Amino acid sequence: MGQYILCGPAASTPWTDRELGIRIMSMEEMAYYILHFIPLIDNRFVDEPLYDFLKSLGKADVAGRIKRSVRASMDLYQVLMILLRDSGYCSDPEISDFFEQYNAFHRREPAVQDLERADLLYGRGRYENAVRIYQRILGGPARAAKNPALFAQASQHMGACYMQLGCFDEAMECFQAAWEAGRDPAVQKQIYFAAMLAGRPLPEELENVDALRFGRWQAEYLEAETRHLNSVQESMEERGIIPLSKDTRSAAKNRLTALRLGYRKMRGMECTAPAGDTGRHIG
Amino acid sequence: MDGLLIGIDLCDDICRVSAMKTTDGEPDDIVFPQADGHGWVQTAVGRMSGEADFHLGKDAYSAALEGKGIFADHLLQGLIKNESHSVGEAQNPLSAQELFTAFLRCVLDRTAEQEGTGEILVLTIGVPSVDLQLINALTVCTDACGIARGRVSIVSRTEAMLCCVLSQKRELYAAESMIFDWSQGQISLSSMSVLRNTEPESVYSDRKVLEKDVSEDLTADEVKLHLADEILADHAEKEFAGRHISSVFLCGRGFDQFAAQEKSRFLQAVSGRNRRVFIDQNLFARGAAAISADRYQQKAVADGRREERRSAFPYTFLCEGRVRATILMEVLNHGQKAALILAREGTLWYDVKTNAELILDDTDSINVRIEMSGGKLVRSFSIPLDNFPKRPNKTTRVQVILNFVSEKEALIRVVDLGFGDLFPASGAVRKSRIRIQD
Repeated sequence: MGQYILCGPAASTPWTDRELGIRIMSMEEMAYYILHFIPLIDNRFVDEPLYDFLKSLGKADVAGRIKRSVRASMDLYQVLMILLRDSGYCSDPEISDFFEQYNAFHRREPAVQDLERADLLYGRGRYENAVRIYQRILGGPARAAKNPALFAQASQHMGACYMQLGCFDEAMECFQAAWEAGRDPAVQKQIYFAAMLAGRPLPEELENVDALRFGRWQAEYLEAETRHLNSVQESMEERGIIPLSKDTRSAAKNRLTALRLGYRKMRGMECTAPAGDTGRHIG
Repeated sequence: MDGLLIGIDLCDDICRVSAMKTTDGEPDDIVFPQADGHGWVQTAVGRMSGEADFHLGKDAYSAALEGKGIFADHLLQGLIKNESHSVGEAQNPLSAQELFTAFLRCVLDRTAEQEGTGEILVLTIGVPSVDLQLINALTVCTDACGIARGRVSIVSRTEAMLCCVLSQKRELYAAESMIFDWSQGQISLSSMSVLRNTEPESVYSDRKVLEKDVSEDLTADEVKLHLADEILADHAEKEFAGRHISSVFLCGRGFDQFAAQEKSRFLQAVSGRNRRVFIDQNLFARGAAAISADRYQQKAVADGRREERRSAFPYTFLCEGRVRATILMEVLNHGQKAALILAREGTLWYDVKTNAELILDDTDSINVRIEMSGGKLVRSFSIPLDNFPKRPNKTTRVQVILNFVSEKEALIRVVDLGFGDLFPASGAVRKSRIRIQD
């Protein structure tokens, strides 16, 4: 049997998570954020913006309790518990589950924590922020020789990010590195799609793929491309856009590629590996 | 206190007024010389051509009879239908609101003349049915008369009547009270009973029309008078059978004629052991004046001008113009079960505008309960939200908006608000009408 939670007021001063690019505007949303974004919460969470947010909700007393907890060097976990209990959003079982998940997360190795953090950002569409963390993982503790499994996972996920960003060359390089480190058959499909989208010849990583699998990938790719083209066509028709001629299309494509390369250079997104992605989502 | 507490019983055919200068006294019935010194005047107004002043009663009729001006009656219907009148002065038609404003000014001037002061502290107007169009129009008219909105109250005639009875000694309404109202060409019977098992106590009233198209003037015709007596006696015997009745009020000019008769079967039928019978022409106007007095008293207490004093009418009124049942939802408030009241019984129906935000937890519908006095469940009502987007549990905030479209029907709207930036709102809306009474 369902129930209804009576909402509290909206904050006149929202709290912002810049990495996620979201504002939190009520205690209920804050409780949800704490429950579901554990990897993103660290000691920087307890700061003036949090106090301002609480005061704008008429919860100066809660802000005061948190400040006293911080001065008494209490654990971040206890601060989060204050917020969860005050929100009225969580049931006791949910708070117990949070306790277990929080502790389980903080018992993991820092590199694994980073991976979860990056995966969370990928899941919310924050691909560039996710790439930065994957790069940090790959450049540090997960270097291929030290931890091949972690390296493979991080490479694959970063490749998925690049696919979403339209950087197919970089994505292909990431997938190839993931294959090298982990030999996960699923990565081969990602390499295939990345190569097709990047317009590159099929690499040697795909040499051993059997014809049946290959055929399925081809069909899938063609189906996806057809759907995409139909969708573009419909969109153009709706907006009254006249399709370009072949020469104009080619010139436009070259122009777009040049712009993309310039943008990547500007953002410092030089990559060592070629790119590609199946569009398979991780996390 | 320097000013008047006025009650107006406003019908489409006639109007009665009572006024008080103190909150503790008895109201004075206003007499209209323009209506042959009666305590009522037609709800009509007239003006001679070329003159600025409007008149009531006979003076208003003169303008029409001589064809040298305008005359408008049934002003209440005119307000509801928003009619304008151009008879006699076709080049300057007057709107229904302008005519009623003129009428109201004349009535208030006459009241001020009799009472010796024109300052209005509180004005309560009792109307036959609490129609939103009528309320808005009356508000415009009282504004035009220079009366601040906070000093004006519009209630049903039924509520005014109840307050008049409740102003009497308690023994008169220990059991049921019955009120016969002969006005607007019909005879209706209202019952009033105080339900003492609720906190606060509730006053329940039910009204039924007994006879329609009945003229109040029967004196000219003995046969009609006798027939009316018999018919009313039959109604009284049928309605009173098996009921404990403490008092009977007869309100309307027609009832005076029965009292003048030597043997009225109707009067015998309504009288009884331990039962008091009153013939009171100004029951509704006096009740409206009593409401004015109470409102003034409560406002003075709230402003600190008077000592704390209980309202004269500390009841939940369940009568025409008021919501007859409570509409609520069961919610969680900081983990505790609570009742979210969307509409409380006894509230003026047009005043109900509720807005609440809830988060759906393991449900995709809005469940509403309708309860009557004493927590008796009338029915449950479920509004499915199948057009809302599917999201993880507890990430859909909805806005529940409830208002009444009539005394018996509420409109509930549920709007999808999403969950902030985490799950954007879709703007989906679900509307549903809830019938309180059949």
